[in-house]
Amino acid sequence: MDIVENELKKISLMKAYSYLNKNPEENLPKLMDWMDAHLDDHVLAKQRAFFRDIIMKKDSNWYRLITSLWTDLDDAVRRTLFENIIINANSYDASRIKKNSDRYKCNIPWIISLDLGDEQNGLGFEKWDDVIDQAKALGTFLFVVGGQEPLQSKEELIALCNKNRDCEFMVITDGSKLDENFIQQILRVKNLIIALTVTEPVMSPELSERTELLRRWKVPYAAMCVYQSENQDRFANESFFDDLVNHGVKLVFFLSAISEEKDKVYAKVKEYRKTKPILSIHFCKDRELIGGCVAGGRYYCNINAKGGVEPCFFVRSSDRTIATGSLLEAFRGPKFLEYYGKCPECPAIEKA
Amino acid sequence: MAADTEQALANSLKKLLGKKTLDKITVRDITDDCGVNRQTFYYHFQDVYDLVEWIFTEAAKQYRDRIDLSNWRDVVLQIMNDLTEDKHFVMNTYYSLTRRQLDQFMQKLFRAPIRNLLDQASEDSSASEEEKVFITDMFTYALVGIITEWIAEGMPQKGAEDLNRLFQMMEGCMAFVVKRMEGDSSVPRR
Repeated sequence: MDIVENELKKISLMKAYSYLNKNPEENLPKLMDWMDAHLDDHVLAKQRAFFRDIIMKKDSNWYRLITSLWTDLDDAVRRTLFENIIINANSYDASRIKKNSDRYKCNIPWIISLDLGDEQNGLGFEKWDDVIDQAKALGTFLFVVGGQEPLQSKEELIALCNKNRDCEFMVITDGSKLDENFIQQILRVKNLIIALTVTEPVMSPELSERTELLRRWKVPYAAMCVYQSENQDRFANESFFDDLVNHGVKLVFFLSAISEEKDKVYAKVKEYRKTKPILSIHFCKDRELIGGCVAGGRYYCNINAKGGVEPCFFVRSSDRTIATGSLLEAFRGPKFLEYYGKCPECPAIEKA
Repeated sequence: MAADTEQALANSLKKLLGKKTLDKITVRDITDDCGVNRQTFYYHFQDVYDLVEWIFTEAAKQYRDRIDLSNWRDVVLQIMNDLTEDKHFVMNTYYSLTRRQLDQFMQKLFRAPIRNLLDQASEDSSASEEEKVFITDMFTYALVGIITEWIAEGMPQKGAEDLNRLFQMMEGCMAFVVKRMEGDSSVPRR
């Protein structure tokens, strides 16, 4: 009965999507009502409140951003994105995470990032395939692929995406290996988002060319900016954000270990959130939006190229590895249990 | 290059289907026979059923654009012959797929040629896209129904006659139905 109920929910959610697809501007507010009626209360509650606020203001930057998803994204890719994120975040999978978390008395993350490693030394398709299967069984369906340069292993990446069409993948890349052939593969699998690492406040011609290519083919792409106190001034200004917007970036992730009071970029993130048509998420600091610290499997964890399961992007140590043990064992290990039901002081934040 | 790999995997699957049913064949069986690794398989196909669909689609490509109102009987006979030749593959697949999978499969295969026929039969028509889609669906379901029953009965010779009758109906019906839809479009629907 569980399966039937969930299938029906899925069908009605996809109907909602078709409805939205017909006239996004007009139907977006109606869709929010509809989702409230069909999703469990606890599912994405904070985020839905946040979006409801945006959607009510038609002239807001956010509204423009959301409706641009219909003009700027490939139809099938947008539909897959909707299906994977909204529907899997439906009571079915969100409750599955919650159920398993309660059952095993540990955190089960929503997003797992994994490091494919390079072709010679990486764990390989078989191992990552198994890890993803384990993660899916626990309820996770969002994966980030990072590491030195994941596009060195294009076949492996596409194979993982293709096998797991019900999951959404995001790959963090410098973009240098992005070409039209690979874009065709993205359009074929439909569940891969590109996150371009941005290291300069003004995009280089090569990177601009890549964004143009992605834009032309209507492939979704985001930007990722990791910065420290030494270079934060380069990004803590309006022209950087405008440069991203001009290059069609709709979503940008920021990561830094700078303390909140001293983080100038984060101050700008909060300021421009009210005015610019770009969704900026600060990995550590946007607790309001994300729902608290994400580490330790609360929402997120990382698996390094050797299989070590790490609690956070900034906490690169592990006491369990999937090379020899299971993913669940890692979540139930002492390191991750420190984050279960509580949030230890962040060891990564730069001291004053 | 990619097409070669896909064809090689397809050949391996067909070979294995000579020995066991589809539901007992794993990706590893196929890749071992073919001499590639699982990563390569999954690069091209989501699962074994995806490969089966590919085999059918490739076969259907031959007929898709060639079928027209004057030659459909010949094309249909040819399809039936080809299916009968590949009886092992077809029967095996039929028994391994769920009802839903089989329906979706077959609908995908036949919808385009039927729509093609409809477009030819309704060239001067003002029927809406929605109406044309509906008509295409009805004929597709009928065709899928007949072929599924034919396969279930072990693909007897008389199947060709049934299919012939269906296409006779379609030939007469299509232009007529389209005209009827046109006529009704001025009347508000209840």
